[in-house]
Amino acid sequence: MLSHAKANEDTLRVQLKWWHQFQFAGYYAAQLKGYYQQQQLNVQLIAGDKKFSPTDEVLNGNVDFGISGTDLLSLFTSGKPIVTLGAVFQHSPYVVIADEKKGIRVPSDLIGKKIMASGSQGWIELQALFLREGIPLDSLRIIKHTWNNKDIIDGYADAMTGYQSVEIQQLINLGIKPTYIHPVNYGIDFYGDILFCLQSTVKRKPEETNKFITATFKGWDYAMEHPEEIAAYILTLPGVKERGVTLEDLLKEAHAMRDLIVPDLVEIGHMNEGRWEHILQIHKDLGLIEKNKTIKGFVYNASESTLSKTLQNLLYASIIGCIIFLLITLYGFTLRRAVKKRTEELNIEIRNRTLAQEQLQLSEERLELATQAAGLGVWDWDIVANEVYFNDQWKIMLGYAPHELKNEFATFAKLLHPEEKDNLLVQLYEHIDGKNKNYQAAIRMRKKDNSWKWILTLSKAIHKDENGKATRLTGVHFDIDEIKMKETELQELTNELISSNKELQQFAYITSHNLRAPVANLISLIKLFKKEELSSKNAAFFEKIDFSIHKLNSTLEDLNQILSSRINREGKNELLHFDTILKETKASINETIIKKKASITSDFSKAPILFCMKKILDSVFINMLTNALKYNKPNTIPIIHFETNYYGEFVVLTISDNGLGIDMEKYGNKIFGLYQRFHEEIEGKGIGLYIIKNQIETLRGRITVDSKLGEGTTFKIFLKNKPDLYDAQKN
Amino acid sequence: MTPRKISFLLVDDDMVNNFLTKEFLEIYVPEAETYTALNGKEALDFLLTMVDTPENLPDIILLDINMPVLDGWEFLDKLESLKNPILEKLNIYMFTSSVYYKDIDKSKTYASVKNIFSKPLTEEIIHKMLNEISFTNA
Repeated sequence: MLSHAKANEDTLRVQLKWWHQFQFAGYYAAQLKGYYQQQQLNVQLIAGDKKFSPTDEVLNGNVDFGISGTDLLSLFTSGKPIVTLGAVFQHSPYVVIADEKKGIRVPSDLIGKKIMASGSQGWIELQALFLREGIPLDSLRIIKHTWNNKDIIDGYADAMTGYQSVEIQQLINLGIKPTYIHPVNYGIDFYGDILFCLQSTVKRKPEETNKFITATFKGWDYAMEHPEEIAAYILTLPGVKERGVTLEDLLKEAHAMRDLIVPDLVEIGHMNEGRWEHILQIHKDLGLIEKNKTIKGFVYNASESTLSKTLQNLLYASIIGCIIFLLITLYGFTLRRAVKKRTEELNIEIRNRTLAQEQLQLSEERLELATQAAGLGVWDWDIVANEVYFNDQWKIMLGYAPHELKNEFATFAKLLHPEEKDNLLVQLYEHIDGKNKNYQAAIRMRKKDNSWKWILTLSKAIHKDENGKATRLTGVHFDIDEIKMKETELQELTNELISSNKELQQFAYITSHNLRAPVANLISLIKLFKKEELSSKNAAFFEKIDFSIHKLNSTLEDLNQILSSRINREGKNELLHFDTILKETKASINETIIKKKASITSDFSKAPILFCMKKILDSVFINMLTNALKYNKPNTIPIIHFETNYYGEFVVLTISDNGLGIDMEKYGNKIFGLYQRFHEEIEGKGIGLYIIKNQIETLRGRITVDSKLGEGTTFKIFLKNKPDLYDAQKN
Repeated sequence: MTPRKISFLLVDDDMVNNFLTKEFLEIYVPEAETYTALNGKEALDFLLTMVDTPENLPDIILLDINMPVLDGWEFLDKLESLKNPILEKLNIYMFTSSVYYKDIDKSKTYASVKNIFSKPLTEEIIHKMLNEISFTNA
């Protein structure tokens, strides 16, 4: 079956690389299990020998198929018409083997050493290894391979090339402890035991080639799964037993081969063109192959070769495919417009949503910043789900770290001050029920250190159900502790002021009252005193006593008047017509007006009425009018004009005269002072303007004056048009 | 018809004032009879002794406000609380060393208070009082 004799025209001759061993187990298995036969192939396996080179046999046409190493790549790129069909070893089995005693463990240990190597048997891997390691090839002493293991034992050579799966074991069997250098460990990872043939063979017998490859690797699958069966068969082959090979040796070889074939990971025979490119690149980098060479056509492609048979089917399939494609294209064309339109719409939609999302994020960031900056505590209560959220600030405000307070309603309730708790919770639940629109209160909450902090809490029901009941509340907490403290301080200060003011009033009252009682008595006593009975000298003294007492009395009367005017704001506001007030004022001093021949005009059309205390307006009019009449220019008819106008919240009463006027530079800031008189020649007490100013200011108004000496004076009195709430409460 | 003697009751703790008032009354109302009480309590006690003889009650009472024991206002309150129709007809004039506007308002709340004046008593005030009395008496 395996002999040359049976060969004929139909027989496929396969030149094995070496003599029969487990290295070619797949081929034997394909033969033994009848895989070749099933494919109607007649296969002859020819054992190798150191005298035969498989590449030469194939190139010479002596055999149809051969098995060799990566040296096939050099042959191909140098123009030999070969094609590789499959690799049994994913990692080349070639190693450099030495006796342990030689101390050869890394490639540089080989420098200057005698190495047995042969051209087609691992020399290419060796070269690549040395060059990759930067070892010049001429630093090695390469000698012809004798394929006699004893030669490295007895010192003929220091090392030799060989198979990891074969020679290592043989040396061990000879009692040697071998060391070896595996190029894979140095990045030289080539294929090994590659099945190849002439390109012409593939062209000539495409189907047979295909069948042969299929059957061969099927055999390999079987061999790797059943190594004992195949090993036992190999023992029966010619020359095997004769070389002293045992079943155990073959099984050890099989075991070593597993690591190189990796049948569990890779389909046996598989070759990756990318890896071949990589191998080619290594060759080029090392200068072993010229840069311009390619591996095009080096790796067998089953579909290319077997095109002829399936070509027609493929063509039909292609035509049908084309028609379908055309239909799709036509349909697609009509669809495309609609799709394009919809796509544009979607794009706009996406843009809008992105924009909205960005803005939402922006506003969220702003809100976050704002609440942080304002130190606002934020809370959110989903009433339906009873989920409560407090932001960090809410907790920090009370002196707690965020993790120290649970996000639940009870947290809030238990920190409330007992004086406000019940009322606040009632208000809150009324707010939730929709009975109370507002929820806002200044409350005290207990801090971590057990002190109380004033907080303004307010909220708005943001979601309501159909009954108007809130389903979700969101609110804020604002720290008003400082404000409250200031408020308390202010209240205390106000109370103090009120009390001291009362004391002052009392003091003033008692002073004026109790002082005046003896003064009144003195006046009466003087009246009854018989002056005529005094000596002329005593009469002079008495006159001075009389003068002093009247002066004292007059001062006390003024003081009393001022005290009375000051407290007069307790009167009631009423609607007053300016023209009526003027008429009454004029009537009360009619004699003086006639005597002075004064011309009094008025224009109250712009602001005819005022809501005010009559007493004060009376006081203003009488004082203004009498002053204007009193301080008129000699030999000039007094012209006095009253006018009103609105100015913001005020009604402005303007009184201008053509009188003596006041030297503003000299007296400007003294005009409204007590006992200030600017015209020595005219009698006056100097308290009228003082009283008016006080009264006006009590009503939150003001009085201004503009005057020029010798030309006249203009007073402007600003009176609040309507009493505000504060005044109303005070009154 | 013989001129009826007009009687005055002065209620004031100021002895000088009481002296002066008497002097003035002697000058301007020579037929006057004048009684003096140094505070509200004394005045009240004095008046209560005359409830049964109303013809002896003073025609005019000059009442000061600030006094010890029972001041002017307290005196008026007590008088009102007695609900005595005879005492309610008394003619009371309040006299104070300085007229405080609050006092004016307050004085108006008492029916028996006819007027309030600032001290000292003058001829003018005396005539004013006498006119009012004769008017009411008429």
